[in-house]
Amino acid sequence: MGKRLRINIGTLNFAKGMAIILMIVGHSITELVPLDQAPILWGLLSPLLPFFYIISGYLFTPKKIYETVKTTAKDLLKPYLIVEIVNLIIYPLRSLWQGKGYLAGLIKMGAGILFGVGMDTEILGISVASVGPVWFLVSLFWAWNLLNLIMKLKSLLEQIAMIILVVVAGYLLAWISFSWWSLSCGLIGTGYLAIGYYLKKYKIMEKKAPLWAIALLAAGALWNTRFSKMLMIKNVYSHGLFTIILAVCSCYFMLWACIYLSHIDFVLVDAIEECGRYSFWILCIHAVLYTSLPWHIFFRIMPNSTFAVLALLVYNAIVILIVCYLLKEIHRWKYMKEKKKNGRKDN
Amino acid sequence: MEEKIIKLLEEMTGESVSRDTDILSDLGLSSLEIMSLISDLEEEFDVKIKAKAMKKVETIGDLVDLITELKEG
Repeated sequence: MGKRLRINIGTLNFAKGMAIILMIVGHSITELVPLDQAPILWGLLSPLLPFFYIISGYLFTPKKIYETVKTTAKDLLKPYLIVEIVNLIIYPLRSLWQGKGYLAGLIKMGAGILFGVGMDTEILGISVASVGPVWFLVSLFWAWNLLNLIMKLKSLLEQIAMIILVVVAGYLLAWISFSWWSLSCGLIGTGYLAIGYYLKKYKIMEKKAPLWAIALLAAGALWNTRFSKMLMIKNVYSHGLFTIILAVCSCYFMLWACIYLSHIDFVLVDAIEECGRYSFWILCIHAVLYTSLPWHIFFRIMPNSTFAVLALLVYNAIVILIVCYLLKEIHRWKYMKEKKKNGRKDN
Repeated sequence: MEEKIIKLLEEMTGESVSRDTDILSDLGLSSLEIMSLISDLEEEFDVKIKAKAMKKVETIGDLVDLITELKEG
């Protein structure tokens, strides 16, 4: 048996790249094959979101409470608001174009931003628009800060007990009411985030797992793929709390596959890693494309749904490439400006 | 160069770092911060850090070595 492979930024880039590509492909394919008609597709896609939390957990390090709130507000809530301001500008125009009225679109999107939900719904009699996949940023904000608070507990046992309590609370909250600001997902996500953090802290993926544990995880992953249905944003957990655990089994193998694949020297692996590097931007761009832009038009102008899905994927790829390039140029410009300013100060 | 990279990281994280600092375990940088850090280093040292090159990087020392290698190559 060769040397165990280590997890570093490159591995995480590959994992993030795989996850973001699968998310975009998933969003497009489900327009062709609805999830409830394709249980295996649902089973394959459902661990994606837990997987995002687990990868994020690899980047988590306990810090001071105030510092963490400040950093996560800057890195998660600020991009969320920027994306939603863009949505607030475009969405009413789309609504006007579709004959539903500008004001109706403005109110719907405004309510969406206020409630921060990831699906079109109705809250207190008000029509609320989905904010798109960036709801994940809001839920990650809750999860990150909660985990940071839990890490203040000294004993590992107390930490684990508190994490379980938080996950159960999130699950119950999802049952009781449609939670605002993706709070229930944030509470459940705390558990997944903690798994990522403990995997990193105790280097679990880099150690040889006992055969019985692999067999148990494989059985869980197979069951998850074939029978379990989870859709966090719609509060769908087909096997109750057990669904949340089953997703972890699938995530273990996804992570394991990413670790091994990322160490292969191949052009496609490099491309996926580049996607992973810019996955945060890709998520934000996809949120605008998915929420506000009239992509449904492909299903009207293309000869059939398969072509429409392919066109949708190409359209996503082109817009993402262009906007990523522009964002990189903006970042470069800001950096040079800052450098010049600091240079003047030093002189 | 090493001093410059360490200074950049210290400004970003507000923590003191050394060559042996493990980027994932010790720094706790967010996804956005890592992306930003790599872009800043590319600008600062006029190099192109490909995502695949990051596979070799675990510590600040590895990052310094990578940029030195890219500068010299």
